[in-house]
Amino acid sequence: MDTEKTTGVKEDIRQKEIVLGSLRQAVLQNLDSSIQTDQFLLNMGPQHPSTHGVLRVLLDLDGERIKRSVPDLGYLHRGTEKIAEYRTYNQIIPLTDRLDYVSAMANNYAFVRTVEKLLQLKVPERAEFVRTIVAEVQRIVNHLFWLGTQALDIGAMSVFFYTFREREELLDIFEILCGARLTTNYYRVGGVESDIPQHVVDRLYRFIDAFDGNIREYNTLLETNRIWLARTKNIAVITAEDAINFGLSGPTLRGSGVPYDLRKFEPYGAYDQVEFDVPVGQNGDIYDRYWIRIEEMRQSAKIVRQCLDKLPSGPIMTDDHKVSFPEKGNVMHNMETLIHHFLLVVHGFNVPPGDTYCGTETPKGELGFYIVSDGTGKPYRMKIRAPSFVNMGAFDFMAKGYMIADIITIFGTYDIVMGECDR
Amino acid sequence: MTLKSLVKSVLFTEIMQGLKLTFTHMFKKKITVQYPHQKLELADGYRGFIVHRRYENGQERCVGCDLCEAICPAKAIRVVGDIHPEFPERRFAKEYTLDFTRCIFCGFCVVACPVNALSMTKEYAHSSFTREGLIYSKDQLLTLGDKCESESIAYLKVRNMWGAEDSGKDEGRYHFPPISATQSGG
Repeated sequence: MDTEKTTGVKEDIRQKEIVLGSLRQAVLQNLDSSIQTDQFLLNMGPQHPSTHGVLRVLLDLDGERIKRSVPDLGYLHRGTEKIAEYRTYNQIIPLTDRLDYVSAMANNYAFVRTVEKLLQLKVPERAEFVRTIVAEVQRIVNHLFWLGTQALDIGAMSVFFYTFREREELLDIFEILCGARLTTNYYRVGGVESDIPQHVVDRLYRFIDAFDGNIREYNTLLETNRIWLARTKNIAVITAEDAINFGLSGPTLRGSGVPYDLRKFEPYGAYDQVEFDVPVGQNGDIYDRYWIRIEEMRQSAKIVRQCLDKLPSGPIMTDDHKVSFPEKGNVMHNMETLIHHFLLVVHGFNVPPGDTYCGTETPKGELGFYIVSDGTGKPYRMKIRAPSFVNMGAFDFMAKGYMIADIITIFGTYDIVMGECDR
Repeated sequence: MTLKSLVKSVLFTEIMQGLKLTFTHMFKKKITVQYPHQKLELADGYRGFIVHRRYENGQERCVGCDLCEAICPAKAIRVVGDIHPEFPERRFAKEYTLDFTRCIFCGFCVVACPVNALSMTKEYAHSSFTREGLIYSKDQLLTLGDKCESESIAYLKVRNMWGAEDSGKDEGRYHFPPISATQSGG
């Protein structure tokens, strides 16, 4: 980002800071002045329908207000980082599906990008476009899922049916592309697994044409609904400075007015060849984060349309056969290819020694992989920077002073998925 | 508060708008599927249950090369290879177990198989009351493969693994090692 832009953004943030700070102060004062009762500890979860998985929170209550909340993580810990040290790079791709199981494609993308950065591998242009299309479709799927469940948590049930209707259509497209709806395993180091057929392209065009009307449908149910507004406006306010200090990312950060989006700042894939806006909020409350996700869906649809228009022809896998599997026909005919195939399957491909971090803008925020390679076919160490986990760090801060019923809404606003949080 | 907004807040217009929307959907086409009686059409190349395949003459394709065991990220496959009792120049899988309680249906075993002995089907609703019931032996996988032969071929075609089969080159089909026409009857 150039300096002129930076100072402009900084000034903008400072202005908002003053407004938001006073708002937050008022909430905390309200907490202090309320009637002091005995300390009341409430255990919430891990088996609670609104925690979106297995999250346990210890709530320290003053009447109905939250004084302190301690999230207890780790119920869904599966040791993905440790397992990865014993798997070849290709074998890790299906493991990343299970991190954020609502948007598996985005996890695949984040992982293969890191490995490609270590290998300094060039991906064919068509593959870059297909990856971008699929990643944006995944963003729409994730936000639809979020919108449905968030509204369901608050009590607006019908939105759930409408969002899942559209999600179903997109998951069907994933099923054609890769054979699975959730655990996709679609991206490969150096490209994607299968090409995007023409009938899927047509289907995507049809979906995008109708999608704007669908978003208006959800807005009819929510945007002006006074119950929705009362439950979301001025709840879980976080200022831009606090949001940055807590390391928040994704819509949770942009809701506070920080236009930080890796797709814009460090363009990857085909994002530098398409036009899109990064929506930012003003108040940093739940309503703003809702609005941002709605707007992001519109922008994603815009990106998908531009990518489909520009979709170049060509290969979808890199021609570097040190990395990509040889064609099955050659394996069955050619002895040299067969030996190479055996080596790739059993040993994997070697990655030059070194370490790298690579962040990708997933629907939840910045998902980063840090891989240390010792030159063999398996990573020496793999660290996952999961956005849900980092966002959870601000939970106590954001929940302090609000009513106990707002806890449900605050869980929802992070778009938290425990598979990624506990890894 | 203006008069207009007062009227709006008294009459609950936004709730009325929402109700109007849900009401109109009563006359639109239903999108729900009555699952056990009515099933969705799955796409070709759906990654369902894994099966073993045979050649046209009924001979099992698996040569017990261990590649599926090596690539399986969930360590669900166990292969014990041995020399074929009838053809001493040929290998086969003496024991082959696929643990569907561990399987994550990633499809890598099919990619790894050098003789197209494995494929995936549209079967997804296999269940069992015991853990052992979901650990499939080679015979069970072959029986399932016979049942879903067209699906398994469609999977390989969609995933671009059918090239060698259609090329017409005979040596490509029986590569591990080549079997002469007289032996293929077994």
